[in-house]
Amino acid sequence: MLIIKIAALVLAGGLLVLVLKKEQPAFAFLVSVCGAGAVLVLTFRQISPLLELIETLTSGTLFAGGQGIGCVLQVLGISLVAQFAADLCRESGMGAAANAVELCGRMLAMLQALPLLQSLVGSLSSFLQ
Amino acid sequence: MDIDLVFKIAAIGIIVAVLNQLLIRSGREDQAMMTTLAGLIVVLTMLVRQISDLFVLIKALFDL
Repeated sequence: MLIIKIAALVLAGGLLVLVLKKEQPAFAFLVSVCGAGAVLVLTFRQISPLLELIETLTSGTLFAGGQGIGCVLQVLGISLVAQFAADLCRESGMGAAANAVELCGRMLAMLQALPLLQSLVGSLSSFLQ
Repeated sequence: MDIDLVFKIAAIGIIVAVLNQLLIRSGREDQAMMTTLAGLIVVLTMLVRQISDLFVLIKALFDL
């Protein structure tokens, strides 16, 4: 089971971070970065067939919001990466940089969702006329 | 990017910590700093490669 493997990985990583924290804080931070990255890689490898299924389902013309799903997936990717970077910044003590990264992530996500918003407003105005 | 990388980085960290203490006790503080920096650079080169693989995987998955 993947979840047990991830729990074991995080447990070992946490222990090693505590061992290294006093003597070499830099290595402790690198171990925690590698642990977080390993968990992310394991989860993304697990859900990649799910994302392909979503794309094949929505690429058909029968579903009107076909290009909407692409935008949603991109916004999801942006928010995942921004959250990962912000948490690593907070882990190493840079609170201000973490908030800056989160703000940048929100802005980019909003930028990504603009075409979706335009098509929504266009369809709404066509209904009202 | 798996559990063995976490162990590898932790092993290098522990070795550098021990070497650091050894060199400081024997009075060579500058060499202690050198070994710490060398260890950091080795670990960083390994880690950067893995992080780039992670971001390539994310880019492929969410077609960013």
